[in-house]
Amino acid sequence: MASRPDDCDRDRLRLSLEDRLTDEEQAGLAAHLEGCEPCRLDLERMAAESRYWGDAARLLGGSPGVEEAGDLPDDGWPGLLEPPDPERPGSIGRLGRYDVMEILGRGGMGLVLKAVDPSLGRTVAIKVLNPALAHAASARRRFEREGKAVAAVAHEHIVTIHSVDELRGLPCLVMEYVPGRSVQEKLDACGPLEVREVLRIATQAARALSAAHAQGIIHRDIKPANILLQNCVERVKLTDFGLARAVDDASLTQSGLIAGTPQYMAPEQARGEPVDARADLFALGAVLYAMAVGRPPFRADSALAVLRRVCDDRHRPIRELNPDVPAWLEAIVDRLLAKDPDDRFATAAEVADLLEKGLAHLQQPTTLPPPAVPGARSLTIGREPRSGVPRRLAMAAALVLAAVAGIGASDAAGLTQVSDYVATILRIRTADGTLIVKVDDPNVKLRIDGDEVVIGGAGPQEIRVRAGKHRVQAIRDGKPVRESIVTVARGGKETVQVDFEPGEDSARVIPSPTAMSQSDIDLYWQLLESSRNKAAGLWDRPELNRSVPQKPDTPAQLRPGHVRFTTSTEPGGETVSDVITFRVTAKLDPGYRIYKHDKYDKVPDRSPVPTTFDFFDTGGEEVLGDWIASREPTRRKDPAFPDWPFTEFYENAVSWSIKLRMRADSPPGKEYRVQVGYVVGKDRSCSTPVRWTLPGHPIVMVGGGIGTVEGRPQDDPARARAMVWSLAYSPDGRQLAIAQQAIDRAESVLRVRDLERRTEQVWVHKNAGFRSVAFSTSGRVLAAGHFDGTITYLEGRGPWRIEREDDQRSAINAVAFVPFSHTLLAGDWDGWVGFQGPDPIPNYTPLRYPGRVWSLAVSPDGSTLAVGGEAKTVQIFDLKTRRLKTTLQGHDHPVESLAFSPDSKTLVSAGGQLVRFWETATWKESAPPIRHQPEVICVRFSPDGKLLAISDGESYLPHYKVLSTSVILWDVERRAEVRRLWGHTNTIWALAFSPDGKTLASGSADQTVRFWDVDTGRLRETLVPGASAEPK
Amino acid sequence: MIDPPATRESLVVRLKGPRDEAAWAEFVAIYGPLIEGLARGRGWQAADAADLAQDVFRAVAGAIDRYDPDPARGSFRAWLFRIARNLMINLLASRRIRPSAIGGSDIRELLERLPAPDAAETALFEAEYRRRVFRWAADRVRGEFRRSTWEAFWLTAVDGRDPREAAEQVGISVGAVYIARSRVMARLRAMIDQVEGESIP
Repeated sequence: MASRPDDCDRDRLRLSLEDRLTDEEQAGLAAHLEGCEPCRLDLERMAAESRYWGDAARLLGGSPGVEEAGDLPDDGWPGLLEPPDPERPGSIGRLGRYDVMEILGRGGMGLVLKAVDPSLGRTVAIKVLNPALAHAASARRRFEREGKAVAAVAHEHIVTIHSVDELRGLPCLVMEYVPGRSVQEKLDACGPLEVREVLRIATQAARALSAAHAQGIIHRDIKPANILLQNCVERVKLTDFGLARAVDDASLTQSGLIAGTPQYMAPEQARGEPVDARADLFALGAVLYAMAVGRPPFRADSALAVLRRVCDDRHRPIRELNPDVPAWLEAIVDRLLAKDPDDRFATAAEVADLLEKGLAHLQQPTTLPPPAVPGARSLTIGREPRSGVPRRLAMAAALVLAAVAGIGASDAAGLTQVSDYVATILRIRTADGTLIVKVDDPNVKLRIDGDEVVIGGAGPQEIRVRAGKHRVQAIRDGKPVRESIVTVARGGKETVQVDFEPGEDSARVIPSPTAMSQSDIDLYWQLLESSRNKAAGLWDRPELNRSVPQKPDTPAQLRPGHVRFTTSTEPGGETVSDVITFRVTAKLDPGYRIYKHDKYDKVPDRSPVPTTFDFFDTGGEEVLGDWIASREPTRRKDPAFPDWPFTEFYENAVSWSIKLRMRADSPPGKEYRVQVGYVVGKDRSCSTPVRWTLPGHPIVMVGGGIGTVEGRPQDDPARARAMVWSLAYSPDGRQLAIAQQAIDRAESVLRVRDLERRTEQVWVHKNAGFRSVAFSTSGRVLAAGHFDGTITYLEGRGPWRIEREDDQRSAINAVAFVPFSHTLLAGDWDGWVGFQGPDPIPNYTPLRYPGRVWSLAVSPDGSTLAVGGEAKTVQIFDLKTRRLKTTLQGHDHPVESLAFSPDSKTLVSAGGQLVRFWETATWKESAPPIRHQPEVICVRFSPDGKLLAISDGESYLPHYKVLSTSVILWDVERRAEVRRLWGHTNTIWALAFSPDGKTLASGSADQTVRFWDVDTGRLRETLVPGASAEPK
Repeated sequence: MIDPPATRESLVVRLKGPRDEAAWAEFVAIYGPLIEGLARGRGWQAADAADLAQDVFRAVAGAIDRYDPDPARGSFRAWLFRIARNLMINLLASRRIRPSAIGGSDIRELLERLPAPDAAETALFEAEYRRRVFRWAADRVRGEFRRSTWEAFWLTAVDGRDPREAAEQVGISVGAVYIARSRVMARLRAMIDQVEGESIP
């Protein structure tokens, strides 16, 4: 090791790490380190152990590092500041000639910096326009106007503007720096203020407004955050005339752009109407209110909802919330908050005088009288619109850009957020009644009494019309598509709905009669284009784009009632498209909505209205593009979801387009599936798949059908929605045991259904998840294993329960009875297989499986037990000796399911995408495996051993997702698929053949049990456990 | 009020004070990307991964009532990170538990069980966890340093550049680069230890 120079000093290194050296000492150390490797190593070691250094390189690599680093964090400001002047300690950088000391705040409009003007030695506040806005000419103009307007007003209660500047290409306002805090901050810290304080602040603010108004300047955004209280003296300084503009500046008014803070915004401002100084008086009233009670008079969960309340609701009397407020102050506030500007005070000076008198009265109540508030008795604040002479129908459309306080407070990406709140509000004044026109097709134009109404954007359009009859016409592509005469009563509301009119060539899908109950969503499938070979293509033939129900030629694969499109190959022509585009249109009945699936939000448990989510799935990788909705969803606060700030949804109708590619290398006959799923309330549903086959073959397309509404949210767990884990027929075939796990609630349900009487016995377990169920050969005992480690035994008609005597209480994943006994084999998550039940084997030694047990099977001859699970192996035990005979290898996934053939000669194991066949005499594979996608979930032999039923799904699939799943009926001898049973919409966990072999029951996480006719493949019945039978 | 509140945070109305809220915020900042990353790594769709993260938060939030604020049993943060770690390892190992099942008793069981003895899953989780914690800590401390200090650290410690080269690029002396990288690392380590040190069960 090199010798250390004399000035090696570990303490100095430590202090350096803690940033406790002076600049000079630091420089000295830096110089020393350049030549002293031992000290460098010491320093690194003191900073962190070597693994941290290794981790830093490994773990931080690839993440944004230097590029985004800087003194100004994130969001669009990098590079704003130049490196600080070393002469100026504490400076974080330079902006023009100013030394920036700190960031005071950031808002939607820009950034506020505290800086020092070195030439004058003066501390200033610099407001820099957000670069994102600086590109917009109007914002830039307004910003500059702010400066010029306010610079013209010199007033002790208005923040002085020193200069309007442009620094580094961005418009800047250099203003007086006011140390202290805003009224908002004071309210946040202290809550409601004392009346005296309220009066003092409001008086000064009113004086400031009076001065500004005298110069023709309206503030337009008076709110507590814009009222600064100077340190110590708490002198009021009004700032942020960010939205102020000269009254005579008509350009912006005409554009209808409204900016302001909804909670403090005057109704006329909210409506986008021209405003005058009296709008500031309304805001002052709202500020007074907020100072006295701690919150603004109008609150709601979205900007638009606030605006609606500002316009329509009367505020709650201030004295109800703060009894200390004197009656005369309440009268002042009420008059300031009058809906009609004419009912407010005429000038800010008048308000200031009144408030001053009030303050004086409070200070000397005996000698000075309280102020008399003129006009206080004739308040016309309520909802009643001002009566007026009916004018000709006129309309003011206003784009309400709610530049909301708080939106910009922490983000400079605020621009996009702000635009999220853009909504179109149509108002037709001369209101005697309200006509609500709901239009969801952007191509539709409206005429009311012959006047064309221009609609921009989606969302509610409220048009106020005079009482009487009105003619409403909807025009699409120049042609009237809908016309109606609407009579609007005085004060009444009438709704006209213009639905999306599907094109004539849309394929109307006929609902499947097998649906349990009809949802209210119809789906239309329409082929838009196919990329290849249009000339000879099938899809250009108009007759093919119409719904022409034809008799299916393979009835077994089609559920009745489907529409099918068929065509044959054109002679000599290539008939096939490679990329095809579909349009799917969902048409919704009134009151129904399709909610846009939000990343983190799900439909709440109990929704008072039918709600829907869109989920889409296809059978493979062939989707080229996402589903693209034809328009943006409506976004607003929704009474159905009181906890959510807003929801996004579609009403009436919405279309999606989707592009799919048929893979040329796919084997002929491969089916492609497309489907649309949706949720009504918490009830999931989906269309049946659209299917078509591959190039070179006659194209077969099966249209989607109406979905099923499966179950309803219920208080009673026995009737709540639950996925099906396991099924078992009683040996006499009269009963079916159904093991379920409730969704989104703690309970789980075990049912025994009498198939003839169609009644059920139901047991509810307090914890989630009956995982597996089995009947004894005698049929007298039924056992159900539970995720919480309990096994429930039922005997005869009455249930009884035995807690498992195992401290481990590990989840029971599989149960099976030893034939002709009441000994139950149960496999758990710890890999134990025990012999229990009413007839346990005394002092047994549990069998061990090296991993979680997922499946058990006992050979019908009672000689052999097969255990499969997580270890991807199947262990074969001799049941008599209870010894391991052999271990079957070959699965590359956990073994999900096991089944012995009725003659005990074959064992079938399934997991991942493989089904394997084993000869039990030799434990060698007796046939090549079946490969199946997406995943094989359950296998069961038919009682005669001729058929093997194989169910599929995805073991990871969440219950609320939609996946078209199927059961394959496989002819064991011919080694061929006999039928494919489509219908389930989530993973099929359970299969059970009836003892007579005529019926196959399948149970799925889609919460249904389906009964299939084995001979024909026909779906005989769909059972929604809990919904279809009265529990007893 | 107007800002869409993050659902995640709104789940946690049970938090008892600002300290707990800070711990929860840290937890969400680290675990959100962590869970999504792990789920995506297993081939989940983005939306499903996000759902899973949400479900885990929900499950953990639901367990908050059971947190015993006995100082001898560790801080809220330690508890939070411990149960989440157990949950995630169990969740990864179990495979059987799908997002739908979370919220029931089996997730409670998973929450309270010791991590499954699955070395591969545990290692995978630990590696991903440490990566997230590192990135989170880096995001947190970055703002505390001057740009030049941060760059000196990044160029040498992460990008593996020669200190001389970095000094030239950043415009400070080589010795200052040595000080800078170690100062940042010391801070990083302190930040990581704060969450990680406590969370080791």
